[in-house]
Formats: sequence, C-alpha cells, structure tokens
Amino acid sequence: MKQSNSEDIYKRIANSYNEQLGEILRQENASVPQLPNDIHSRLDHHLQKKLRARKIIRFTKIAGAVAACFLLVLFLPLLFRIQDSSKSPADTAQEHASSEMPEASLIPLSFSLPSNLSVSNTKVDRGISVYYLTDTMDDNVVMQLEPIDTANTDFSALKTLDIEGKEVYAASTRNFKLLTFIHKDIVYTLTCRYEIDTLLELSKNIF
Amino acid sequence: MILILTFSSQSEKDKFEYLYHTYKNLMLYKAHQILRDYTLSEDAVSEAFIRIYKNIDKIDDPTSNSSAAFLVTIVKNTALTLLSREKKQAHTEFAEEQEFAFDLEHYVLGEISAAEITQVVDTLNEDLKSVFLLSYSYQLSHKEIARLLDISENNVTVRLHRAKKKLAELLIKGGYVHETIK
Repeated sequence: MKQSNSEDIYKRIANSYNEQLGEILRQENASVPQLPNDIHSRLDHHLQKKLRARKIIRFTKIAGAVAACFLLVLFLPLLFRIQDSSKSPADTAQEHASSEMPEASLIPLSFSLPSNLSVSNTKVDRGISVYYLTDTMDDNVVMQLEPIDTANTDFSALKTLDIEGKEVYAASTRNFKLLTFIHKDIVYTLTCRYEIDTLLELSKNIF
Repeated sequence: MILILTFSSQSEKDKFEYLYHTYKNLMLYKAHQILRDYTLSEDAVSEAFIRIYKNIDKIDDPTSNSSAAFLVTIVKNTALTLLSREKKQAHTEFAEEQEFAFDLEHYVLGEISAAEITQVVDTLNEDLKSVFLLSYSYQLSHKEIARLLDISENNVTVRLHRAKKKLAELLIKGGYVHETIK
C-alpha cells in the first residue's frame, strides 16, 4: 500500500531530526563532565534495587495467584456443600426469588466532585454502584458505593487515618492507592493509581 | 557492575550493557538539567533504563545516532513525569480542542535543511515531540508508546494529533512543503 504524502513527510522529518539529535548527543556524551563515582554507584544500586523489587513483586503475584487457584480448587466444593446444607427450603425459595429481581439502580452522588474529576462512565454490579472518574491530572479514579447492609466492613487489614475527624482506611502500593470508609450508611471505596491525595481530596467532598 | 537481568539472547544483553555503560552519565546529566536534584535524577534514569530494558528489541544498532536519541527521549520523559509529580502540575490536557486545520495530504516536502527541520520540531514541547518521534522514527504503535511513556493510549493519540497539526502548520506557513497537482 502506497504511504500517504503526509505520513511520508512526517517520517522524513522525524528521521532527519533524530539523526541530527543523535549526532549532537553522541558528541555531547564525549564532552559532558563525568559525574562523581558515588552518584554512579548509587545509580547502579538504585537500578538493582528496582529490578529486584520488580522480580519480587512479579514472583509474589505469580505465587499468590497460584496459591489462590490451589486453595479455590481445594475448598470451593466444600464451601458449596456447607452452603447447601445450611439453607432451609424457605431460604432457597427466597434466594431464587431474589435472583430474579431486577439489578439495583445506581446510587446517586449526594456531593459535588472536585474540579479535577468528572464522571466518564457508571455501572451497577451486583448492587455496587461504580463510578469511573476522569482526572485532569491523569490519576483516574474508580469509586464504588455499596449499601452498608451488604458490604464487607472488615477494614482490619488497612491503615487507619483521620480525615477532618472522620475515620478512613487506606492501603498504598507503588501503582495502587485505596481509600475506604463508611458515610451515611454507604461504604465508599476509592482507588487510583498514583497519589493518595487524589482520593483524600475526593473524600473531603464526600464528607 | 553486574546487572541482575534476564534477556532472551546474548545480543540483547550486550546491547543493554553497552547502552547502560555508554550513556548513563549523559542521561544523569540530562535528567539533572530538568530535575536539579541528583536523587530524583537517579530515580528518573533507573526508571528510564527499566523501560529501555523492556523495549530493548526496539533498538537495532546501539551505536547509532538514533539509539542515543531514543535513550535521551525516554529519560527526558521520565524526568518530566517525576517533575510534574513533585510539583503536582497538570499534565497536558487530552480533550480535543478544534478541527484539524492543517493537512499535509496534498503536499510534498520541498527544500528544507536539517537545521530547519530541527528548528521546526523543537517548537514542540517534550510531551508532543517524544510521541511524534517514537511514532514516526521508531515506528512504535500507540500501545507501545503508551507503555514506554507510562501514559494512556488515548493520551498518545491526542498528543500525536496535536504534534502533527502543529508541524503541518509550521511547514505550510514556512513554505517547506508544496502542494501537489490534484
């Protein structure tokens, strides 16, 4: 297929620019002052540490996934047996009836979002209202709202924070931040990738 | 220093080690020009090398000018990302603004020197320039660029669109391109 004129022009521009830039950089590389050895040593160790951390995280994720699958396969049949035996005929009938009920509607927001966030999508998933929020600073947020009577409220594994007198629970890794709390009988779960501040600012609007 | 890395071949390993030992000083220097802090610069350079390691197959000849430019493009991006996080600055917004006003579809490139090309491309900010160069000089897909620069694919699409629009405007207004006979 013949390449369009515009694509050809851009390619030639980009290649020419890169060739020039590369030439200048290679000359600069020969003349730029050599930074002190301790900085280079620190960089070497820094890189080693990052690579080791990535290997550990990767290994832990894989090991965790394998262990989870193994436990699931082992205990799932047992779990079903226990559930079945504990159900009375009335329970079973009610469950069957409720499974035919229509999906719960989206829990509306009772607060205004911070100016950097806007709703890009929503859905309801098994009674949980999910809001996908786009951030002007690219730290997009997923916000889940769940009624307290159906939600898991065991936050013991999370870190407790006090936000303007309100108890909230947080977890943080390099690429994942989580904040959860109960407000007016709704369990809010906020997640984003980069900054816990993104979630803290949002939570202040919710309170 | 022996790096704890696994490569799919000895040539990839040699390529990476060559790039690391040849350019790490320059990359620290470039990162420091942006960040003004050696600790942050080390962070930026190590992050850059991790991305380069993951994309080592994109580099054909590590001794080429193109490879030098590739490395510096990556480290400038990681440094600017760190800088924006430190200063909590807004990223380039990614909403569409207006119709694409300049289109090179019916143009051909005329007389333009390498220096003039450099001048035109250097009018782009680093965000737009890096996406443009990675797309057109290194032939990376939007997905590959998104992973390399740690931005969304949507962001790549919009930045590329803006870069092309700006370059087209400059090339047309500067008389560097000529309209073909329709």
